[in-house]
Amino acid sequence: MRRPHLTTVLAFIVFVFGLTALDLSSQPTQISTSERRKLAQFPELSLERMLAGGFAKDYSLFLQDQVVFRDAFRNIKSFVERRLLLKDENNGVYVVNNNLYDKFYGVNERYIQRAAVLMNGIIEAIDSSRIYLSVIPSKAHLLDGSKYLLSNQNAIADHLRQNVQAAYIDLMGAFGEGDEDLYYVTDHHWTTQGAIRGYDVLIRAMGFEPVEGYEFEQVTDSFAGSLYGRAAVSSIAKDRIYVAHNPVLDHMTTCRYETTDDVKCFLSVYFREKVGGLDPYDVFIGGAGPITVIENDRAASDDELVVFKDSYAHALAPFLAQHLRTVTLFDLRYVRKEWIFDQFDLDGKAVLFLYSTTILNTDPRILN
Amino acid sequence: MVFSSLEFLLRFLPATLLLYFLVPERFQNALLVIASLVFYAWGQPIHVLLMLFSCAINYALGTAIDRYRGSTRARVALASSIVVNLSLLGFFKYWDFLIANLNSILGSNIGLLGVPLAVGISFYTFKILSYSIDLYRGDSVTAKDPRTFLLYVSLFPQLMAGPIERYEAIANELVDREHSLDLFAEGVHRFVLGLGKKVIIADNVALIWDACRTTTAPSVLSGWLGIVAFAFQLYFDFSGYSDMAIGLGRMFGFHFAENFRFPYISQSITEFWRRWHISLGQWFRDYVYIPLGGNRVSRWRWVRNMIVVWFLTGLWHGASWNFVLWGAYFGVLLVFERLLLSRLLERLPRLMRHSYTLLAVLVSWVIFALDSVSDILSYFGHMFGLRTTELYNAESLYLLRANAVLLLIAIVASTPALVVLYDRFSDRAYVRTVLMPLLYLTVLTISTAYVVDSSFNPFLYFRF
Repeated sequence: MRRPHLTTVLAFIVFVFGLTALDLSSQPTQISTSERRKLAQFPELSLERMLAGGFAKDYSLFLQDQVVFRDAFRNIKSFVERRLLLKDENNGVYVVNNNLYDKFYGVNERYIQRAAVLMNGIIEAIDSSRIYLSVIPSKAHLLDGSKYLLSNQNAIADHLRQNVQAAYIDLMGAFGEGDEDLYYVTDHHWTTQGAIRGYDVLIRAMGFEPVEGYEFEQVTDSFAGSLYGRAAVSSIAKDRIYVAHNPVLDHMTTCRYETTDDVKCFLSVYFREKVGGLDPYDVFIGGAGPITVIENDRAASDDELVVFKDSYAHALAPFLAQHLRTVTLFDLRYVRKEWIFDQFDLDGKAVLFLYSTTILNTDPRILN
Repeated sequence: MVFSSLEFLLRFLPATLLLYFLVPERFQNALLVIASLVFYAWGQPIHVLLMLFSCAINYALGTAIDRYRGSTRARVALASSIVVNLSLLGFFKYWDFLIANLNSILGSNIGLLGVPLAVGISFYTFKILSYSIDLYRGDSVTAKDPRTFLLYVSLFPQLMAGPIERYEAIANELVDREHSLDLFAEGVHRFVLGLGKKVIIADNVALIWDACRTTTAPSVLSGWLGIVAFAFQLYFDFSGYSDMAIGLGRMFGFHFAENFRFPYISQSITEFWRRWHISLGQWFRDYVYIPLGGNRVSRWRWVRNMIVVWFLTGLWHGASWNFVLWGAYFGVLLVFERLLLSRLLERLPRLMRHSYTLLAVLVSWVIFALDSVSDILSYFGHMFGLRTTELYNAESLYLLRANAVLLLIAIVASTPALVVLYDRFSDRAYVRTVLMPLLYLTVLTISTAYVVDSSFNPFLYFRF
């Protein structure tokens, strides 16, 4: 074997020393817009932490988060995984026809069974004849299950349909192949069009005729959602977020309970200032919070709706509120149900349990 | 510190290289020692003291062995060195295992200490032991300077996971070694390829093994796919580490022994162990097997020797019964191979010999990978269709299809094919001046990309 040539040494030196020099001269940043998260900062330096090894771990995370060309390196890894190793996915995100899909594989039966039990517990505590349940499919539901490793999400909806004492409204069948525009490309949520599809089905089942004809306003054309950062595919275009307008929607008020005794009300269901934040999807009713009440004083009826929900409901709720005096959204990840029963009189109101398969399958806290 | 981390690639390595080649030659060893101590202290500073303690005491004992050569004192010094080393290893690696077993046998309730494993202790303790024994036997020169001995033990490229180098083998280089661009280029070659083996192949096939091991939809295919993936993970992880160690050694002017020679092409288990973790095999041969009489004894004593060696080899890998079982499995297989199978094997076609070897090795990896007997039996059930009647299912077919290219790369890279290819074309100028440097840059870039986009993946052999 002939020895490697000296250009080998040159290549190595240029790579290691060049990258190190560039890395040392680059300034740490606070957040990553592509990954939508805060980045690790230089860790606290103390003798105690150094001796215990905590500093080394944090420093490692800091280097990884702040390394120069981080996004480029993540794109390269994604390219190697998909184009060279010919995998369909990177970091658990399928990349199919310039669209991103959260890999939905493995049904967590324990979580689903528990969700059914907890829902029934809530239902027993409320005296109402109008209790509804619906399950929103995750985007992977649109993919051909024979080509990708996917679990059948209908199993989750079926279990809840059979075991929860509520009128089941089917959304699983309302979304299928060809409905890609009903979900964001870069995010797991449904788009405004997707929310309208959901609204049509739900409101009909509740006995109302859906409103039609909205004006749409684009609030951003650079929405990089939760799947964008994970997939790290540079050729994927960022999403546009549209919000819908009509005179009724434009007169709604949103009251957000940040804590139990800190309630702030806003004269819109859209929070434009959130578009520049970490999660532009928060433009809808201001994002996640324990309790959010949408008030509509132009409603034809005095009827009220209570929704136990995850974040998919944020884009949907204003549409439902067109028919109702109030829509109250409870996110049980942030507030205890005992407190709700104590503070709110839910008897006689319409109640909707609305959860996506993804959250049901992965987050055990949704009904705590 | 881990070679495949940004703190190594973008901080420790450039800083160490820069300082090493800037300081006058007489300070280079001191610099390497300091760098090695920082390398070891990173993340687990307390264990440095343990290593320094071990170095100090064994250096003194080594000097005594040399000074009182031929007398009882030398024997006492050697015995002390062995006792000290095995006690340290025993306490820091096996104490809780011992107590837990005592508790279960005697029904006692002695508290466990939860001693954290000192990474690398199995490797440097064996290096130190070889030094003391070689000195006693007159097979090695003494380290004249305690700093040289400290450098031998702490040398960062091989501190965490070998190769287990004998002092004699690098004694001259520890004191005086040549540096050259050619040698450095060789070092780059080995280091970069080792990094790629670890980061691109080992950490990636590890995901297949995890998926197959934890699946809720077992099929015969996923059982085999999983253990094949684990076999590749272990090989590319450990041989990748050894390549990086050897490569780094070359950059600093050392020639470390080879630790792997394409073990998966072996035609028998005997051959496999001449190709897998070579420095450990040699250690047990030189310091246990041969002193016990090797094979120049009666058949029964030879069988006893094999049992002892393979029990210890198993136990060396970890304080857990599955490693002992794994060692015993190889011991039995090797005895069986020598006494009965060797003549039969010689008459078989290559393909069958190779298949037999791979099958036996794959079975061994099940025992190696899973630490409870129930998990091991359950996994065998998975492989041999006792846990499932499905030959394959959607999940296992998907895993196979999605990882086909990766597995193909792993198969090719675990044979000498690429080395043969390189040898054939390496005398062409454009290969050495352009293609290979481009390949190194590509592997470095892709490896860095995987490191950036990964969670923490320590080397498997750090556990041992």
